[in-house]
Amino acid sequence: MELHRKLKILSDAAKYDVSCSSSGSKRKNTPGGMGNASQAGICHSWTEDGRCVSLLKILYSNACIYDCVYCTNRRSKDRERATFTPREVVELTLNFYKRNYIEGLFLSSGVLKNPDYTMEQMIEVVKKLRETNFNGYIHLKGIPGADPFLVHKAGEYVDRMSVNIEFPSEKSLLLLAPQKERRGILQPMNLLERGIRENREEHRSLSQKRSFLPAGQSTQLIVGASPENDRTIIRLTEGLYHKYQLKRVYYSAYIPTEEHSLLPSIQSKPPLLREHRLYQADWLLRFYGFKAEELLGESNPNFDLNLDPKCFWALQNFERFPMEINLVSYDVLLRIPGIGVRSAMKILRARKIKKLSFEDLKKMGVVLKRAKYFILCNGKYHGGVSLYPDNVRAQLLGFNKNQGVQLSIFDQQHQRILKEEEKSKVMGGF
Amino acid sequence: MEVLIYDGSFEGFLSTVYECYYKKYYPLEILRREPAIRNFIYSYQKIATSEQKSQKVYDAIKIKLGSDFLKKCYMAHLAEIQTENVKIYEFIRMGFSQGRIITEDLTHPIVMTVEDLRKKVTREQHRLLGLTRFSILDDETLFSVIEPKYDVLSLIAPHFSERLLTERWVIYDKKRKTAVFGQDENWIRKEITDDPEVVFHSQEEEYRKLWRAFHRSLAIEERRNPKLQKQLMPKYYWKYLTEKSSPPEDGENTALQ
Repeated sequence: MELHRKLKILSDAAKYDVSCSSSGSKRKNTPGGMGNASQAGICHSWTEDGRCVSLLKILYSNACIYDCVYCTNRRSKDRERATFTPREVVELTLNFYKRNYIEGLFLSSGVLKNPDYTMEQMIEVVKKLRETNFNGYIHLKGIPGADPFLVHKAGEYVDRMSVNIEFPSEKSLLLLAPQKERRGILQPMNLLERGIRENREEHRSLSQKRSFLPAGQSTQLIVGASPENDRTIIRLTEGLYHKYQLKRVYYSAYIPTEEHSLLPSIQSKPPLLREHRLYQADWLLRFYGFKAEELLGESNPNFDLNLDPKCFWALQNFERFPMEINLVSYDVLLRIPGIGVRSAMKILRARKIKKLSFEDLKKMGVVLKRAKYFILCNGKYHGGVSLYPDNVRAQLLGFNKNQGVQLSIFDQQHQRILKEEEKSKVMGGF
Repeated sequence: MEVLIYDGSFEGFLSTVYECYYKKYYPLEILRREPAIRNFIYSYQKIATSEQKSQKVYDAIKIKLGSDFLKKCYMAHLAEIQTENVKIYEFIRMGFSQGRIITEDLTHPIVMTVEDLRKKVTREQHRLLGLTRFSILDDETLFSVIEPKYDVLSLIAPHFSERLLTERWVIYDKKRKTAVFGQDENWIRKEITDDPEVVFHSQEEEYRKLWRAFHRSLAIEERRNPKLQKQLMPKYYWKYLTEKSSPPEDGENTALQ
């Protein structure tokens, strides 16, 4: 098969894997080598759906022996199959990299023959790349069920590995991906976590440095294909960050490709807004000091799609507000809806010079649309409505519906989605 | 009412700062080049770039206000917005009189302007690390054309120099008729009078096609959102992007069945 055709099939088959990050690795170029990794990551392009393109994201093969019902590459589906050779992937990567199209390679694969064989082929690719002195970023998928030794070996060549959990509960996994086992997913994760930890300790004691997954590991969860609520997902996420030290958990709104009794109907829209709320909550866990239990309790296990998770939390903990912007600490500033890491830092800096007024915040570019209901500036309240959670909620929802212009790029996306779809459809049938 | 004119370089700008301090000018404007029409109520003064004077100011800022402060001035100056030059000068004056703490005064108009310029330049610098596209020429040189809004060429060169150790590479800033040439860990910046003529490698077109095909098949139809794409990757940059510069070829746009 022609390379052009293969690339089309195998990139099309890989596109539902949402991770495309190239950050977190400090891999340096070597004498006579090509490339390095950028700590902050670099986006090289954006697709028509507004997602960043950073890596050459492809499957090694889509000729999968498994028959997971949710997957577009499952065995029983009638579609064209293709498999790269290691050489082809190496040539593509190097040539795209030289032209600065990409930061590196993201290689995943369907299960070809068996998990071990697939993993060996993928290792062959990354080994060849490193042997040509390629020092760009590589993200490799761990194949569930592959020999732990192979998974560990792959970690020596690449910057990041990920094993996808896909379903937030074992029950759903059993139902929708019967050939994958929970153990087959968690075991390699465990192993990689240990590998990273041991490597770090080794670095301290030895001068000889050997790299092992400098950018850590990540995973992906499919949202909306199975009935788990947001609380289950967020608690699972928190566990993954703590127990396995994952760098990222990705969420992928399920996009139905075929009718199946176990899955949402083909007419249902992907729950993009729910996916976005989960990403926001994920951010709150990682950078804002929130705990899963604070965000979603047993009595309200799902986020309100119309409110971002921080507003949702703030309205439920309304007794903590309003907060005096000139007094509260950094950690507390971060709990104010609409105030992010950057704004909080700015406020801290500017506070050294003088007491900040509402106007000062505006000038500094702090987004006040949501924040104004939750803050005091020098003792003054600028929200314009009396301080009851119901009033504030009405205000927050009101501006969500009527005004198109919001400052966050993502929020504009929801506006569009919300307009097009009704809330029930957004939920994806659950 | 002094209007000062310098040669547009950062050294020239620092020399101007020197003159302002020692000749007690209170400039109304600091221009990068001679204006089209001189306004007769102002007095115009051309400032010669002096290595010695600029070095003095450079060292003074670095020692008294720190290298972060110096870098802020340098980055803001690269924005090449000449009406704002005088604010960068004011920023330096404020620094010398009140200390480096002024950088924290984020509500002060001068500090805000400099911060804003710096942010614009930094953002474009980072953007171009991703959006610069090389073509491989007949003699294996990697060649790229860019037209950045701000003068970020010297800011992105070290990144590519580090990456493309074994390659010969050129990035040409068509807007400023300036290029950087890199080879063996080193790079130099030179002005060029004419657009260079280049011959592409025989494989070049093939890889461009592969890249376009890849780029297209990566988009998920159900998530289509061209507005978001434009927001993240402004159309201004599309001209030199391989994936955006030519219309889809026959059959390339049809999705896989």
